[in-house]
Amino acid sequence: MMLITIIAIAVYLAIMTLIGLIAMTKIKSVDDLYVGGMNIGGIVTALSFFTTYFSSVIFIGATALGWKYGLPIVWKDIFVVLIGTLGAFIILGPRLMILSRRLGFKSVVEFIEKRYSSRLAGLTAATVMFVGLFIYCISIMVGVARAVEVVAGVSYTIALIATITVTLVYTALGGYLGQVWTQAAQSVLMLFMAIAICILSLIATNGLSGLHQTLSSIDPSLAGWPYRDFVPLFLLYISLGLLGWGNPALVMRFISIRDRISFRSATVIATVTTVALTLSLNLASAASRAILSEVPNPEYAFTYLVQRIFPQGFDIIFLLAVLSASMSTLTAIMGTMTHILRDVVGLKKVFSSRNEFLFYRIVTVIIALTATVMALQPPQMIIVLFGVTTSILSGVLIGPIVYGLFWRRTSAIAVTIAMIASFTSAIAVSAYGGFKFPWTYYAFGPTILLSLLIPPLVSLVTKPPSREVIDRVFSKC
Amino acid sequence: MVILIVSWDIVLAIALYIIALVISILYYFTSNKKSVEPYNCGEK
Repeated sequence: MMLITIIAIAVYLAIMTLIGLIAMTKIKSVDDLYVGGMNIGGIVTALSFFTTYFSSVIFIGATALGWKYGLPIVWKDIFVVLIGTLGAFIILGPRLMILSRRLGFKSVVEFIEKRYSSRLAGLTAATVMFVGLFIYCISIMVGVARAVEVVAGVSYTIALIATITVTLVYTALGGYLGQVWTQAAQSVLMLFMAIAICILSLIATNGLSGLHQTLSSIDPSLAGWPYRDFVPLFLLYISLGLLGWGNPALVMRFISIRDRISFRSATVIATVTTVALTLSLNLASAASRAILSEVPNPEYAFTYLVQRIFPQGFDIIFLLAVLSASMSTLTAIMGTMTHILRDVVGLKKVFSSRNEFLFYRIVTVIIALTATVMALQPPQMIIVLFGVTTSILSGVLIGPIVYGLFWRRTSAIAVTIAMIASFTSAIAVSAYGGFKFPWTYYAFGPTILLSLLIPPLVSLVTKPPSREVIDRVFSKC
Repeated sequence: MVILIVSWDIVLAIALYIIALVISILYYFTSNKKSVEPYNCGEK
């Protein structure tokens, strides 16, 4: 059984590497390398967005919430679906895509810099996002290595190194195309596993009504209102929902999309896949409480659930789905971090195209190696910051992005102050609570408030952007 | 699978997922299929 698991993992990793190598042969320019030539179709964009959104947490860590809180967990991804996906594709995406062509930016940092005509604002965004993404990257590495360790019985170190090496190979060689193509393939595995686990869980609990009755008999709060830990959990849910507007790895998908018309299919595919994945996994994780009354560690409730309700051998597919979820998010994060460094260094003005290819690959390797070394034995300082990354990635940048797209009066100094203040508050509030639940979730409140309130307030008392900047961004043709 | 005895809040949550699906499909059929806003003034 162990041998079959290792062979399945090896075949899976080989296929991902092959996709990366094929992508490498399609790269002709620096734009291809970083943004897929800004020519990614609607369906691939949607699948790439969807897989970037959900890491292995959706199969591992989030399951603990379902086991602990029961059916109310179905609320967890309402905001992800309505705001983070549907709203982002209908409201944020098209506007950002059009502006990217008009102003000539190819990343979120470049957008901030060109929209506000301010190098300082761009550097602030780059710093904040790099820190958030780097910590997020390590947390995903730790999560996937632990998952492989538990499910496949492979040592933590080997699991970590094997996963990261393959992800690194197709990210570094295949560039942006390598990212989105592997993500599209991985989305199939994730969806299959989520829907299968949901159907079998509900059959095991005699349907939704049977699940409701069983959970009610255990504890009424597992089956409906009133909920336990309502405030911190809803803050978490809202912060998850706003990731689609603030996480640069996700927002990038709106810059690389081919054209305005591609948003039609992308919106439907992204929404359908997100609903299918999240609703299935939320129902299944609630069912895990009804099916498994005692588990050694709620984080791995799905692992025990799969072993209980699936035929033997299905845990291999579960493992591949977990790997898919992790690697698809990791590749996007690594690519985005490299892109951020490129923007900060201002490389395109210095090097030729060939050197840019070299830079991309060397920097991606350095980022992956650094994060892997930290993930092997995460420093305590990094571990405590894991819980704050969602607040940072969803809360800090949302004000500067939204006001930048839709409000002419927003000034560069206002968004710079907003980014610094909201980032600081995310860390400070979490630190006040010892970086523990519920304070890591409470931290999102002030973060999003500062990000949304400071730009209009400060803009009204500072010098407005120049007429030229406003005309370039908001001119109607 | 029949929704028989499930509390109102859970039904509401599931309904919101379905509403999102419906909106995305409506968007597909109602958004403009041909004309694209010119990216730069003067571009047709």
